[in-house]
Amino acid sequence: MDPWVYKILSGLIDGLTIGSVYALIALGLALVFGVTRTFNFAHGSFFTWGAYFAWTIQKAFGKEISHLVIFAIVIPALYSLGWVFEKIVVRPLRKSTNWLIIVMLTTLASALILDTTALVVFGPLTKSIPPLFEGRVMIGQIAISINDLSIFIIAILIISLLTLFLNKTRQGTAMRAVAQDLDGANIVGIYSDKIFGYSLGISAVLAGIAGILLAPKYFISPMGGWTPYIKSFIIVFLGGLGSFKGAVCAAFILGIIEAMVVLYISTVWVMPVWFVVLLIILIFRPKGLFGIWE
Amino acid sequence: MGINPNYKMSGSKNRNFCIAAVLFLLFIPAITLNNNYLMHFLVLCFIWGVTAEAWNLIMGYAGIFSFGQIAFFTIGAFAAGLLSLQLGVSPWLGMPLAGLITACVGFLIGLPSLRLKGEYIALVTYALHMLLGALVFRGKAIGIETGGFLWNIPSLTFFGYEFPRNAVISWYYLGLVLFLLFLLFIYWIIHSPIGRAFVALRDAEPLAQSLGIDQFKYKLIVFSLSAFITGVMGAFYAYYVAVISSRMLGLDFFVKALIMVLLGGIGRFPGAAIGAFIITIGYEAMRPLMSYRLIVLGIFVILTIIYLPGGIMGGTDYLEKIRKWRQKNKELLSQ
Repeated sequence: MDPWVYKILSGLIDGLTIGSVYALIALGLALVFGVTRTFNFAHGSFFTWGAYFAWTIQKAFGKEISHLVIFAIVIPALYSLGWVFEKIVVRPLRKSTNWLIIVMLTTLASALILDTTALVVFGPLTKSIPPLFEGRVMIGQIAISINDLSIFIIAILIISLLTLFLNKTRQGTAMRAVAQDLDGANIVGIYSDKIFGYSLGISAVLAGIAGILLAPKYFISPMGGWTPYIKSFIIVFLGGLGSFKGAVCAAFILGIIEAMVVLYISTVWVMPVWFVVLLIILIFRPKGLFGIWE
Repeated sequence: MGINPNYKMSGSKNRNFCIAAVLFLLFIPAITLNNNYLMHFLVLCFIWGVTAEAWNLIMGYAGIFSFGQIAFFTIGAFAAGLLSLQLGVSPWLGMPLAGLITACVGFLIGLPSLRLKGEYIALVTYALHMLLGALVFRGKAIGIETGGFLWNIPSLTFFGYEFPRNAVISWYYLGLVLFLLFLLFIYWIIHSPIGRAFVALRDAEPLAQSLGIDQFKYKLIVFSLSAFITGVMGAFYAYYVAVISSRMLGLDFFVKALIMVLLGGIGRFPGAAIGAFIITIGYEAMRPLMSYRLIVLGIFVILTIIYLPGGIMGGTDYLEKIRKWRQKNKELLSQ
């Protein structure tokens, strides 16, 4: 095999791995945007806190603890975090006019609170948790680390579970109903406050799991959630606001772009390239790739 | 929130208050016996006052929900620093040039994004903010030190007299001049045809548009003007503190500027500047709290939004409401 084919293929694999994690974060953001029509600026803090939760558990129980146990503890914790967050920061404001914009301000302030709390509790030094699996498999000449493979599989699994939840269960259907028409959903007896709580809880879980999956690669720091957050909203934009399919597609497209930029130019240029891609898409397709709302 | 519904074009009642405030600020050095520590914070108050007011202009009056204000401030500061360090441009020329550069960036960002709806503008401008952090942090190619620093930015000179960094008084008066100048400029914009166009667009958008008011054009103009003002203040900040870093793009700076606007009252003209004075001095007073003061700041933002949505300037609305309510009760009782 030619060396350049090898390079491109390994870049593609990197891109798919990172894209699957970005899809998780972006889906959480898209879910909250779909249901509440507002952007949660503390989404990146959920990402950070997920990783810190995992680190704390690992610290408390020792390095040998299975990742399954970590997930079993972290997922309810994250869900409660998101739910309480909705109760404190979003719900009191829903009666005021212009609340979509006000909520963005309060979530931004809460992001500051959550990040600073992480800084005070865990200190400014970066933390790390060991990867899920060690070792690598060879497919032909291409070495794939089992950790990357497992990240990809877990992310795809969670995305499928979320799709199933939204399409097949009662609560998921209610969530989609609120996303389509808040007033209509209220009329048919869906308690929208509850749905708001669910959606923020689920989005916190998605962001937190992404944080745990990426922690062995990129370390954990108090402000580390901002880059994934900004990336996830570029993804949501590119995919089209409110479109889950679009968010997943855009995550993989941008993930592969990121891997290629890292391979051929340098890490520094990832965000500028993403930003340029976003601006170009916004000029030609203001609704994004799969945008369904105005 | 949004624009004050009781918005009036004239504010002659406040004129005496303004004159008194200006006189007071003029004589601060005499009152405080040339206290450098206090005057330093007042210079910061001037800088943040203008920056917050420029933000208020686009957020409260033009209805552009921009999160790019600190990014513009940083662009101004780094543009001025690089111009003076790399090209040897005089600081007096550096300030307007930095403002122009910032205005150009604002224009370019506004061109694709100002057609979008409110929330999306916030995201695009915040993306600029994040992107800028990455660029500044690794901007070795354009002469920024590792870690996003610029050192030894030259000081201002005035006919051979170099503004000393250890005595704040000359900086204080220059800052005061800029503060008053830009506040008047913003006041003028609000009351100019552009400002009236925004009032028209707010009150009756279809009618205003049918009369030929181009929302996009006016938004772009105000957005660029606000970026210019912010850029000049960023440049002044860079010359004043001499060392600037990518820390300016930190979330604490951002939330601090945001709370200035919120506390003062969005869309209520001198509010943001008053908020800047309160927050800058209050934040310094909270220094003993160390890192916890950021948490306090965040909680303060949430409480302000929930319990004081109109800010300080909106407080008068509450008084008015209470007065009307009492009157109504009286009428009911007398019947």
